[in-house]
Amino acid sequence: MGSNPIVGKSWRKRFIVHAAMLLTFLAPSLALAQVSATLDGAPVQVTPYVSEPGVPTISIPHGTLNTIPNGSGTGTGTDGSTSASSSDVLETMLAQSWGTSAIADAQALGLNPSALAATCVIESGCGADVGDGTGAQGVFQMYPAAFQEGLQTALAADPSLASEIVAGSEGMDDPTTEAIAASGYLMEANENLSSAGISDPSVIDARGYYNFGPAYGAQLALADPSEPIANVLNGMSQSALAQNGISPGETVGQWQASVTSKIGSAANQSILS
Amino acid sequence: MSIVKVFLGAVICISLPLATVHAQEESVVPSYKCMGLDNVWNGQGPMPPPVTEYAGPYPGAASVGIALSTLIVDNPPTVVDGRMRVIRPNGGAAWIDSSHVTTWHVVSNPEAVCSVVRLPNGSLRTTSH
Repeated sequence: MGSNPIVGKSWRKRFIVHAAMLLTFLAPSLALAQVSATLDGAPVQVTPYVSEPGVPTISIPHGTLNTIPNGSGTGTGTDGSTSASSSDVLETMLAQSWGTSAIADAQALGLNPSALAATCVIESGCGADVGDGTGAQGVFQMYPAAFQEGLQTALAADPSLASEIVAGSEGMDDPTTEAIAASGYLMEANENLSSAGISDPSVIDARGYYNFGPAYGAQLALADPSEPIANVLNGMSQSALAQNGISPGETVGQWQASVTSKIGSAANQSILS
Repeated sequence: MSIVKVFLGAVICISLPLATVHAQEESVVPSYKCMGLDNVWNGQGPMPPPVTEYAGPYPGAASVGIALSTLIVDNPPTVVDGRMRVIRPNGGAAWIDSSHVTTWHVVSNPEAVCSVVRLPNGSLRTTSH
């Protein structure tokens, strides 16, 4: 009944082999748990318990870890490089005389100010009234129907904003009034995208809605990134696609990357604050 | 030997789910098909008004949303009292006036084909090529 040393060695070998297999399977999940970080300063120094006689004690203050947050949002497939950050779009809007009030009004409506800033950056650089000759006006390039609709939504949510608006069609040329209307339109975008089953719609989801309208907006947000965007915007001719900045063969993912390159990290933020 | 078997069993139990998660793919749902709205924005000028989705086919049914440009409908379509049943991405149903519905097509690419797929998470969406 004594133990057999040969069998015992075989067991140990098997155990080591199986343990190695288990670690191999678990390794990917362990890797996923890692968080990217930068070190602000020198690494932690090894301090000897007993210092050598005659050697001066040198202490180097160590840096602190700055973890890099993982991306958030709907994961719709954008992985393009970004040339701007969400603070860039906010700063662009803040540089305008009406920027501060636009941000305050957006916040009063529960809207993420970066969503509003991203809209005016893309539409006009938040500056010139670029007028496309088809009726879209102002720094937010809104058509009259969308302007009225957005204004009504914003005023219904916060009637106190009525004191800031320029009444009538002149309001479309007043950036503060148009910013309120655009905020209301983005609130509608959030509601409609949510209704279509998109949880916590992002700024880039809202961009599709704002640019291409309600029917296409949710369709774009739900589309596979590899799908040709012309198939999603199925009512547009080749020339109309070109007028809207869509290249032949462009995919939904490429369009998203193109938008992201203009508005940076704001693209993946929530529409609402 | 029984310890080895238990150990191997544990390894398989851990590794199989990891492998199969990546193996799941979307599948075409033949009982649904794509259709389109007859009046979507053509890319120029003001946008047409959105098409309302209703909770039911009956008059006075509550508005529950806005129709997408590409609709998921039953194959063949279900029409009751002039309204067609559309399926939402979460699998729920809504109804729109069938006068707004036409065959699915892409103006810039008449050869495009659309199908309805079910995603691994159970939701539906349309895809085209």
